[in-house]
Amino acid sequence: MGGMVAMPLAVGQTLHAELLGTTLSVIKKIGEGTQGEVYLVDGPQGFQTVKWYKPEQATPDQRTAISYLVRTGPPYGAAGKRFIWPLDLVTAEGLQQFGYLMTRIDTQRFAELGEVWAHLKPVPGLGALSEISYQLANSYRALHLSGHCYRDISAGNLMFDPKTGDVLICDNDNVGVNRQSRCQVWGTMEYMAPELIRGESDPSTETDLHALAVLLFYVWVWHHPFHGTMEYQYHCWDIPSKKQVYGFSPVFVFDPDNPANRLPEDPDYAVARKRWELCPPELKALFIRAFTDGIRNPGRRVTEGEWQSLFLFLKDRLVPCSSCHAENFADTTRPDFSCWHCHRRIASSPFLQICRPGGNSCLVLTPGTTLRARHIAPGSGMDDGSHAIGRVVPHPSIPGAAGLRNLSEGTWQAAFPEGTTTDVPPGKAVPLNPKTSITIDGVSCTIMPPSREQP
Amino acid sequence: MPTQNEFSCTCDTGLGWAFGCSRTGALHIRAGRPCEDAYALWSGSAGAEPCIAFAVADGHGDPRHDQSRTGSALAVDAAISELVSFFRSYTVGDVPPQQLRAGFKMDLPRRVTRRWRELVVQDTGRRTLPPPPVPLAAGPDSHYSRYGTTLIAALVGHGSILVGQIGDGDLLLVRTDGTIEFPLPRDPVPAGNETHSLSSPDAHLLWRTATLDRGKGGILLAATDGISDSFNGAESEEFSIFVHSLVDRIRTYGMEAVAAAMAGWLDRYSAAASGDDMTLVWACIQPETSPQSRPGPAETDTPVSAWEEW
Repeated sequence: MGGMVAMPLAVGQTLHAELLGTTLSVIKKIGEGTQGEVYLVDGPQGFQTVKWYKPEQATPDQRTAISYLVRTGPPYGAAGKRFIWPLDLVTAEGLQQFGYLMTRIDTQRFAELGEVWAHLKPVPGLGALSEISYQLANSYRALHLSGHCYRDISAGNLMFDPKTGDVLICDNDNVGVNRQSRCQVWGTMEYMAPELIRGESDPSTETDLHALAVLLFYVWVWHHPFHGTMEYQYHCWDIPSKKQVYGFSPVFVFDPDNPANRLPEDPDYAVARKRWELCPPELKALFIRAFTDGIRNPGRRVTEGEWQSLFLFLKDRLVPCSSCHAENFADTTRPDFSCWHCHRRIASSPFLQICRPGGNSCLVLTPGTTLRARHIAPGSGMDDGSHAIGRVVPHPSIPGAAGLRNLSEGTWQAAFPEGTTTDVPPGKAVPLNPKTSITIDGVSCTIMPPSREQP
Repeated sequence: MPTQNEFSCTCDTGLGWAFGCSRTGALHIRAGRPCEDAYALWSGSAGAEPCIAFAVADGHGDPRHDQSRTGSALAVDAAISELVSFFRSYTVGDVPPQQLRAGFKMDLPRRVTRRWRELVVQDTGRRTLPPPPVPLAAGPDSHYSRYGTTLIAALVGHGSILVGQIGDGDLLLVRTDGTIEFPLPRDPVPAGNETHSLSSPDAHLLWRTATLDRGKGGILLAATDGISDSFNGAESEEFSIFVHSLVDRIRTYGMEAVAAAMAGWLDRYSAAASGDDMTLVWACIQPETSPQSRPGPAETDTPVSAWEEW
């Protein structure tokens, strides 16, 4: 089949979903990529999409890989639903080519990163960025736990809702069994781990971790972590120079100990510099580890679990600026701080200190803050713990006063600073008075006054 | 740069041919202003692979951008040089096609924008510029805005068509069955008549790019907004009729005749409608052939008029 020119599917052409045994009708072509074309199809499940491989990509190996993915299904639980997974192998009568069926993506709602950069879609706020990053880490964690590696993690395979931060991961036909599967895709060079570029290793979950860190850096900083002076000085940005910068001598542009690859003084880098400064210190610390220790020692890479914990931590510290409404990350160790956007002072908020066996955590309490099941007990399996069990609501008659309303099905116990206790049944609220303790499912939570965080 | 009374043409017999034409707008002539559009065409071999590259730019033209005529000319130079350099770097060795696609999206906007800035700096060092007609905005990079321009860049290679754009203007592909596709989303207009610019501090992020399969070929058309504005916008029925009529005229009268007549047509459209400068590049792309059937040296002198698709 090598060398054949791809023949597009015709509008109205009939396709067959092999396992489902259903018939699909081609509506129109909606996209194309290196491996094939994507069509909108109509069938018993309504409108879906089909990726149809080019002749040279429609190999027996690829067919086996798709059949395997259809058989195994996406990763378990909520994380798996974010993968646009192959649902069935699709064939057409008289054609050797094949494709696979997948759900249709709402491209009005979901954006690519490049669309945000080009001002075609809204820029996600800090809350949405944290959610996108959390969902990315959580999804790849679930994929890796299922024994697979993705092998082509890049911005090109990520779509997200800029308002809510919901994530979709596309092009899952690249997924393979960790360290076992043969594949036609070795990733996008900008995202490839140095040892992969140097030819010292095959794609694996470890190389996925490097690609995930690069992707997260793009999501936050809108820049490549190794694009500094070194890249700037290459007049011809060809494959050998890329191999040098990404593979043989990678240096993080914000490496605190190695100034060799700092951002040049050029307008190109103003956005990256500004966005890096907006990153909270905890996030900067993980990026520094990922792109210093992590590039020299794959075992020191930031794991999906570490990213996941960090973004949960950040999500719990979001506070809106009372002047411009921009989202900020609260610094619970200081009485006040300045809004990154309008630079006005933001007064520190009370927070809920949650004492779990695994360690303490904090949730900043501002109007609308949601207490979720995961704050009390880690999510597991099908339940990612994201459902609300409490919310900060204004007092119905006292202006400025607020309380934490019980949205769960169980009764909480509240102990007030003066020594009295009371039950808080579902639907009732506890006033946000400092030093009030609330016991939820056996977990002790304490409302703390602003800037009194205890580690 | 071609002079005002010429059209330019370039051809690679294995890929197709392209011509371009640029005209000073009727309003510009009346006001004694020059044409602030520019275009460039290039064909040849990058590495071992033939390619056709072209670029179209539209200088912003108001007093804040008083050097935009030069800015647009530098933009098309920067685009051609970076497109060819980029394509050459991916034709050496056995680079998988997905790397070309990803590299184009990731690298070309940054490299072209940077190259354009270098050329602007060289220009300001070479010439003594007049004082700006309006005060420049504060900031170390404000001199770039005097050269502000949009840019459309495209490259046709054996298997792929690479297209990128910053700012307004129209890029469309007429498939062999006559359907018109817009491979890039419309320019999101920041405010009023403004458009995104190569002179923006974040210009490298403002590009829209796409990689298309050459497949059955077609006609790739790039134009400054003066043309579609004369037809009620690029997605209007009138513009579609204009494009299809050009296809018919080329088929009937041949490319040379249409190219020679283009200047007069554009002058008439500008006088009757938008009044703006008008620049159009028209690339006729042959259908992709399988590697086995790609023409060898003895077959490459087939006259373009014998090409039956168009």
